[in-house]
Amino acid sequence: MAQAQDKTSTVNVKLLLIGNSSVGKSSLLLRFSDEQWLPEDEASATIGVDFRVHKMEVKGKKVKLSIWDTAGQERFRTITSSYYRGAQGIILVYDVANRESFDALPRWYSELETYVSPSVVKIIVGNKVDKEFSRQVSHSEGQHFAERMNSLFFEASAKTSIGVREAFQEVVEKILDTPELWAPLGHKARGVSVGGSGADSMPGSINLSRTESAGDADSGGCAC
Amino acid sequence: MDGRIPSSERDSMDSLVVGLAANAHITVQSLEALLAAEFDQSDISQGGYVAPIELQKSHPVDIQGEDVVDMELALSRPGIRAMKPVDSAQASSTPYHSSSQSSDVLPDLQGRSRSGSLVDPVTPTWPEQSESGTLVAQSALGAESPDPLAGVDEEDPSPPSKSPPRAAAARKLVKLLGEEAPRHVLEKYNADSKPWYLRQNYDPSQILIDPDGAVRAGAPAALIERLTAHEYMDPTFNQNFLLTFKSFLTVDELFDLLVSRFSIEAPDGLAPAESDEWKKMKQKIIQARVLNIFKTMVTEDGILEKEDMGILGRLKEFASREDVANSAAKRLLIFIERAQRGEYATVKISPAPLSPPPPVLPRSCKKLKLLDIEPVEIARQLTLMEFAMYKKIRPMECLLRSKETKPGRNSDNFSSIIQLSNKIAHWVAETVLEKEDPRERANIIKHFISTAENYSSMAAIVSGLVRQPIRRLRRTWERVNARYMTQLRDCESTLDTNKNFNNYRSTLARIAPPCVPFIGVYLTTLTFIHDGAEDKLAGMINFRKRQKAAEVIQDIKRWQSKPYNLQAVASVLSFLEECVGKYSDGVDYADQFWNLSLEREPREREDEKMARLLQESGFL
Repeated sequence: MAQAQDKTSTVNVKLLLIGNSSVGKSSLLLRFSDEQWLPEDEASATIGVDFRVHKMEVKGKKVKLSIWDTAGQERFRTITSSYYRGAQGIILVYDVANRESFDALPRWYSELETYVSPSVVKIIVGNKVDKEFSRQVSHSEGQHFAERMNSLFFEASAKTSIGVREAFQEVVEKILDTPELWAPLGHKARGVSVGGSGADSMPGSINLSRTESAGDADSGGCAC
Repeated sequence: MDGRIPSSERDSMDSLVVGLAANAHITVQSLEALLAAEFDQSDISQGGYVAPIELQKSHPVDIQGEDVVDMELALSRPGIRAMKPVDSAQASSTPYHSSSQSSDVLPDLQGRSRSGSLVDPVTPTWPEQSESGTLVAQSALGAESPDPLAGVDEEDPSPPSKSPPRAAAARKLVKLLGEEAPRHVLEKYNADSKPWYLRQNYDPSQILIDPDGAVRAGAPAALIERLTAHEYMDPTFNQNFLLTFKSFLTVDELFDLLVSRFSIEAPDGLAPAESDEWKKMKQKIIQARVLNIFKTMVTEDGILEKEDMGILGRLKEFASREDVANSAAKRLLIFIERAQRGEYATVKISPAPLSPPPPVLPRSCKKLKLLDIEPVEIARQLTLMEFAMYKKIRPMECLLRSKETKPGRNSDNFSSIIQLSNKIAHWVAETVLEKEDPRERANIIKHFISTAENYSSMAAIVSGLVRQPIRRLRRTWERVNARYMTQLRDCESTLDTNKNFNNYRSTLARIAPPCVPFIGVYLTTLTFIHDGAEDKLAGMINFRKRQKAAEVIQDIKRWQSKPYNLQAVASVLSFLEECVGKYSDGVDYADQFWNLSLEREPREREDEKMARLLQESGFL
């Protein structure tokens, strides 16, 4: 559990960015990472890297954050399943000036139900608030939907960097406060192995370190 | 000699005076440049340049001096247009006195020589230039190709190598560092040493060059100048420019810029000899380069799209202009006409020389079932389907893809590939779920595992098999033996998203075409290029960004260039098309598959499981 972690050791957290194309997922990521530790003119040098490793300190703990981005592959609806493996936090992004991207959120939630454990922290980020004049989704609508989905909510702008840092900070804090996400390995795997066939014999079991979150969805609270 | 100036040339006295003044100015500049070069050299000897040069190791410098080797020329005329290395240029140069005495050198030249000898006797730059200029002109003449259609480039005269004042610095740098001398430093030395009228036209502030010599950003006009530069040729830049210019210029705008580049006018105040030199060393080369760019645009695949063909009319008009007409323009006209007849659009990759392997035909020709068809043949036919789609991807789509605003609305070739991929995945999943008996489901799974051949269908098939409704079928997977599991795990790890598809990228780097790559990786890279860098830098076109996109486009093109040597089998193809055609892209099959999955293998408690196992083993 997070609380049990040694103060000096680093906590690894995996975040995943999902949402329709063109909502600005990669811009959010780039903005967050640029602001954090990349000098301006090196931004282009990092082009083409789909995840970032970033160290930050949250609540006095050292956190090593790896952030994964599915940008460009949104329409391969199932191919990105390996992205989900081991994610502790999901950032669902929509564009406040694009109704369609907001209306697509339930579909992304149904994908999450399939791939990740219910305890995984979800945050909805309404991006592009700099385009206030062409806003199509109000703040309160976004807020209400997030509450209904038991998710955090933030509005942000990758362009002006409003709310970006706060959103990432918030989701990491919540992850650290969620003990289920820090359950020791084997806790869930035991349930699997009792059945006679080890987790190894199942497909999709590379990256074993956190496969149990998928196992959760299977045997536990899966909504099917 | 001055007193013997023919009277017919008195009229040109005025321009001579101007020329003299200019020469004096140049000499002063040369001296300053020399001084600067000395400083630079002392820097070098003190090791001041070591660090930046270390960074440049990956960019071998052109030891032949200031000219970037014209690859097209070099390849089409091996050995004829031998350019003189910087070192030998000095040695082989004739002293200017003999050169001016032996030929009808214009008085202006003498004036220049004189002013040179008066002010700067150490650097007799002029005679060398005229000497090497003549050499190149001769060799260029001798190289006239017998085939009139061999290419417009045949007439592309490249500027001769010179030995200008600052070239001494460049020479020394080459001597010191050999091939590792930084090209941009050499270029700068050489460029600064040229007479003013032979230098580039754009303001240096209109372009940003990175330390590796690549263009970082530039104003459109400056980029066009570089595209058709008289001083060097940068094939990589040209290729990247032509693949991506549509992201910042329309075809018509590019045409206009190139035409005005062709119509470059001599600067005011040139003496006749200078004017001649300007024509030979700058105008002619630029014009040949412009015609070459037009030729490339017309003949090369992926630059002009169907909707751009209107430009051919304007191009034809241009090539027929009286001031343009020369043999190169005539050849260009032939190319244009071919393009207008659509010949380049229909020119396809030459078929493989070997005959394809014989297809493994299904035994019965009645209603085909999946297991009737050998996995290898399913793999082949899927590959043919996918390659046909992949081959259609256009460079322009890559640029558009990365700035798509309305998702799902465009139906480009990327979309059709994604749709096919999703449909294959659905088909794989449902075909497994359709079977009631776990043994049969396992057989289907094994069949599909053996079918995952090219990376595109591998991604689709794996995605179909590892999705949760299939993954959870424990009783099915128990019957899939280790050999298949290993194979599946290999596929999974090949396509693992870890480290930005690190495994996949290195696998792809090891193999040779043909192959159908998984386009998801390209799409992500294009998205990052688009979102990760501004379109403009300091008000100029961010060309670095275009270069990155061009690299992806070239990678995509690489796998398009070689077709599979496989034979289409109509019965199998139509079977596959029918199978995947059942699914539509907009529909979410997740719930349907979940319910089917639970029906096939209901969740069971431990005691229920024990009971089932006992029953299955005949114990109960």
